[in-house]
Amino acid sequence: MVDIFRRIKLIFSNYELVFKLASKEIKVRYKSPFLGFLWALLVPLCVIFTFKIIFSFFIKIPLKRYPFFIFLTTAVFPWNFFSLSLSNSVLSIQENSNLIKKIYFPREIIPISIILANLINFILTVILMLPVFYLFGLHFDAYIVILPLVIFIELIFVIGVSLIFSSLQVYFRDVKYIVEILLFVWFYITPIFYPLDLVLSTSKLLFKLYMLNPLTQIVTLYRIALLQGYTYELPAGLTPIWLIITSTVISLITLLLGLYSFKRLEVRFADLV
Amino acid sequence: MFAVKLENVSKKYIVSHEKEALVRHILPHFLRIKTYEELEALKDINLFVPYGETLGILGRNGAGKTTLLNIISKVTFPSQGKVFVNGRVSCMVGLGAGFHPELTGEENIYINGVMLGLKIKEIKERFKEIVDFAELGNFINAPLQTYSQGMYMRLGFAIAINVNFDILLIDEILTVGDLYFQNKCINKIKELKQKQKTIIMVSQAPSILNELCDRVILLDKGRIIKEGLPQKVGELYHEMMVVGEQAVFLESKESESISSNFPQKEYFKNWRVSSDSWGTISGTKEIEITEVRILNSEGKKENIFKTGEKMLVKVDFFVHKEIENPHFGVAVFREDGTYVYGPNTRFDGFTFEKLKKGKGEFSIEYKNLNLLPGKYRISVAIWPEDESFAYDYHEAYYKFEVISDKKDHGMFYLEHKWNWRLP
Repeated sequence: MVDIFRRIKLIFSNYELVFKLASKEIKVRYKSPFLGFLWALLVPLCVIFTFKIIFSFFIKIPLKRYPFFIFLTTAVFPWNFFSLSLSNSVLSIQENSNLIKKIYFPREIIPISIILANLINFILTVILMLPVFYLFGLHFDAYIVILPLVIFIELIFVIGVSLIFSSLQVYFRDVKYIVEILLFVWFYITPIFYPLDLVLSTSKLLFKLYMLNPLTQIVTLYRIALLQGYTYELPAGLTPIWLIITSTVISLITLLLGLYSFKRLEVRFADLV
Repeated sequence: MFAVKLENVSKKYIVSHEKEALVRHILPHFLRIKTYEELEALKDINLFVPYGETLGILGRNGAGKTTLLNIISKVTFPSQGKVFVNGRVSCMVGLGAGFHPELTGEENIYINGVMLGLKIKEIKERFKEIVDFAELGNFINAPLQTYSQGMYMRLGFAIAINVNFDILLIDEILTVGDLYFQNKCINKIKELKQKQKTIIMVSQAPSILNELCDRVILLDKGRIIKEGLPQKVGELYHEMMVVGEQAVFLESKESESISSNFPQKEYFKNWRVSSDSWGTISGTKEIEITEVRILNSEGKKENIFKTGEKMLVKVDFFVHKEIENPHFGVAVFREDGTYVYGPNTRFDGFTFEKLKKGKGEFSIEYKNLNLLPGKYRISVAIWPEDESFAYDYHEAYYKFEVISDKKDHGMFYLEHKWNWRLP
């Protein structure tokens, strides 16, 4: 445990490297395209408008309070942040073998910097979402203040999961396929394109298990933050406070697990990549 | 205090980890069955490097040199034993780690710099120095993919050398790059040496180790088989390379008696000249060599020649005092110490009875420089008749390099013709 905290301190003391690698990642992403960094805004904008068109004209799914496309958008981008970060970082150690074999620095920095680059994209998307939602007639309530906290909790969770799988991938090249399947399943067991109350109809025990999925908690928190009055839609027994506490605890445990497994497995990275 | 200390360090690699899957590796591990082969890259290494020492590591390919550096730099972990490192390490194992071809030189300096442990502020302070050392000029704002291999290397070296380190690890990089930059690097390393930095360097060139190192260790098959002054270890290494396996065998049994067990030693000794004094200038200066130029067939300064090209060594001298019967000599050495060729004007039957005060020049022209590819040095000297001392002696002071597209083995290209009759 002491080791892990020392490790965290070490990563923090290398913050300049983390930021430099993250900014490199972003620079490389947007350097060649003609429209450059504009794509960071254009892509999510197109996604929102596609949802709008599809779910207003072709598929009409009635929800009590919100247009379906807005309901969907609030969960899709947080999910994208999670799934992109995980799939990008799984191979990151392997793909950066030239660094691993040549220079020593805390190796956690490689997946973390990739996640940070994705985080910057994600935050831009969120910032874009707010005025767009407003234009579509949506109002926000006081719960919007928890938005930064929710993003932070998700970040912790993403880093934890990514550390686990990226370190395992070096030893077992099968991990990336397992992650593919995992992401597929995870997408469906998280209330992204369906409301929570659809799950309520199962047994109480199953619902409790369902709610243990940290991404379910996080997605629900995003909706609380972004959708006015969403707390009234929560099934009985679910409160914002409970969601924040449990998701924070689970995310922190995941992070510690990630750091631990990474540290244990790091020993032979340079020999295996 | 020590900079680096290794205690009984061993490193094993798993030879076939092509599929280190659950079935092949983890399960047998729990059942304690060995399903893979191991390769011992380092065996029981004990090493103590005090502060300010320059240590050289010699050894053949696969002897474990790079693994040893990697263990010191923490890139890889030892399988057994302990490693202690005191101070900040800068590593020149792979230059330009993290360079991205699409980013500019400037952006890459920052990325590579922080990776090597510099703070952004420190990089800003040293930015100009780095760019100047790498001699990149305006290219610093161009993306890296437009750089030549040489520029890429220079940039990598310039960054790594500007890290504020206590311990510098260098892996065979000095043999890359042209002679000019190589000299520049060697001078920079000498400068660092004077600043009492600890330097650990791997090189195949005994002459570089002789020039820079206080102590050299010779690695073979993962063990330190000899340790000592650069010249001595260099000599042994050279013998090993000539006789191959046999000498290695003898050496690992009895490290001191190798020279006596080695029958051909005398023979080789005649062909090799101790390179302790390489790169020095000595003499009484009654005649002084003022300039030496190595010229190509067009009369231009050059230090890279193709096998068979024309080479001209032009020497300017100044006679300070009337001298009788001096003679001029120019000798060629190979970088590993082999004396290649050394005629002088006396052997060739010329006599200069009396030299008056004033300027003069002589030159030697090699019509066909039939040397095979490699690095060479030139000595230039002006001797009195009996050669008991030198008026001026620039010993192995000038460098040139020979390249070729032929693949011949050996030292010289000998004019030849094949004849055969097949059955």
